[in-house]
Amino acid sequence: MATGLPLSIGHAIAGALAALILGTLAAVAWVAGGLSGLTEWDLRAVWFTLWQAALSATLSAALAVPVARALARRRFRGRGLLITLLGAPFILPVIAAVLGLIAIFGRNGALNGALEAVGLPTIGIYGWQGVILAHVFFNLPLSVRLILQGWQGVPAERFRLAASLDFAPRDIARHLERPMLRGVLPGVWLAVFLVCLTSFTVALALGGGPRATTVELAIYQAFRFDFDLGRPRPWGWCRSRSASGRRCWPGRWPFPQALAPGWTLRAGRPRRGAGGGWPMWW
Amino acid sequence: MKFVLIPALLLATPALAQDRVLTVYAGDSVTSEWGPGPAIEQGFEAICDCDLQFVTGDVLPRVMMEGEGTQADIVFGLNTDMTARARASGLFAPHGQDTSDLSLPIAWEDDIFLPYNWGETAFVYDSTRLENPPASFAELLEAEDISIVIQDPRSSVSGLAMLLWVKSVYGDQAGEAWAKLAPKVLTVTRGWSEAYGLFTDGEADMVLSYTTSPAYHIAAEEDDTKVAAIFPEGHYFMAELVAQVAGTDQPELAQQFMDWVLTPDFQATIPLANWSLPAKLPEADWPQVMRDLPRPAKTLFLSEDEAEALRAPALDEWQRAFR
Repeated sequence: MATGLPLSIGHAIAGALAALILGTLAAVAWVAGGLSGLTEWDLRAVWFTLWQAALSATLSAALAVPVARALARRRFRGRGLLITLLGAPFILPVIAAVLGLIAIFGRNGALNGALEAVGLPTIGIYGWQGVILAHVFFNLPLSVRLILQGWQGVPAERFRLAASLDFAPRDIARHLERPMLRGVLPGVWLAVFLVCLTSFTVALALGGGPRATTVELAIYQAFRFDFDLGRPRPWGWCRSRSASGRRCWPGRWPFPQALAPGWTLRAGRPRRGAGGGWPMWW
Repeated sequence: MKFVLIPALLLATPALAQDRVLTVYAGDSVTSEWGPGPAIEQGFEAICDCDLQFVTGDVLPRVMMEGEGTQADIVFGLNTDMTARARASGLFAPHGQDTSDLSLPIAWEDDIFLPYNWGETAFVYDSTRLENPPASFAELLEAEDISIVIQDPRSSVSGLAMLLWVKSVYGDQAGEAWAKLAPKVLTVTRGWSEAYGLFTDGEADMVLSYTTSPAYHIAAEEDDTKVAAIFPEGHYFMAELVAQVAGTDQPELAQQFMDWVLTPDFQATIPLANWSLPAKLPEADWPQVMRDLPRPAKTLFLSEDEAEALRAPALDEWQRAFR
């Protein structure tokens, strides 16, 4: 399999974006006069922002793989609509999403109602778990759509060839799916990570208190609330770097193209529609 | 295009003096359909022979960034507690109004920023869910099994007022007070609407809001179960302010607007459009629902300089209580 090229492109871009972000954080520290220029609370905010974004991105990307796989493999009524609806959480007003999550997971939510009814202890959404839950809610559908594109980028001929060679699912995973995922997942992870870096309202409302302070809140406080135009500069830098990274990402990320040139396969069989012609056992 | 359009527009409105435009920077909440903006625009245009145009967004940061070159003639919707830096910018001109007989619980001596409404911070509860509401701040601190939603003092004016409220009541003991409050705080939100949404959804027993909040439920929803807990320790004063920009290119219009703000014509629209109390209107002229609200016996308010000086240490205390 010619997987060397997509891997190197994927890794190079992921690495470049990561360097952009981490480099920016370093620049923040430098502009702010070293890390001593940041207060204890600023450092906590940076730490919280980074780890919640990393965990949210990891969970979103990991959970999206089986969902995308199922959507890639199955054809059923309403599949197109479902894929369209996966775009909905991302454009939902934040407060609507927060109140929606609370209607399910909140103290008086449906889940706790059900748990209480069967005599189980109730769960609390307010805390880091709420922040992660909300971020996964927002970003899992996005990840599914991105990974699904990767799956659909694998030419149907390859799967047919695999079928004709009597590949077991494990072999298909090894030769077709994992190389594709290795190319796609770093980008998906990074996209979600960047989105979660700029979270503010959700993180605070579900975070249960100022422990859930993100860098975005620090920017807001400095610039829009304190009118301290000197102070947000390093924060603004950080924000604009990460936001522009996020903005330019979806259009410019090259999906692993070397995986895609499936039109070279000249098997004698008539070609069926891409994707739709996957073997039934698959 | 321009050359074609401009004469066409002039022909369309020949008699109106629409070249007189008063640009008013205001917060988003002012111009929303339930805010006082539409009534203000209509009311002023009826007397000014001009066009009042709202520009919405973050009022103060925008004016401060634009500096002398700002397009604003009037800034509308600033908050007490945040005037120190605005004043220091020197961008604003005196309002020229007599503020000796305002209907405020405090004396108002500011010659730049003019209050057009006011209220006091309070914890609002649902009487169907909280049977024994705390009767004082001290009782609230000791209460068990009460959940509260508050706003973040770093992103919300009501959150900042709460910080100063606790500081005014407890002074050096504010840190201990927050340590007792923190376990009861279910969560902290970016702004008032998220917190109030959580409260009305039944997530929390109490929410940080205003003494006038129940009036909305009574008047608009015929719901009298939302009640502000009145504490003898006192409640913290908040007012929304208006100021004219010194470098305005419409000084007469801007002054006319400032003169209009304290008239009964303007003030009568405040209670039910803004759900707050009017800055200059005899209590007999308030809507019944506002007159009937329980009111604190004691009003707390820190001067601009005190608030500015206390803010950073109080914020540190607050964050420490939640760490």
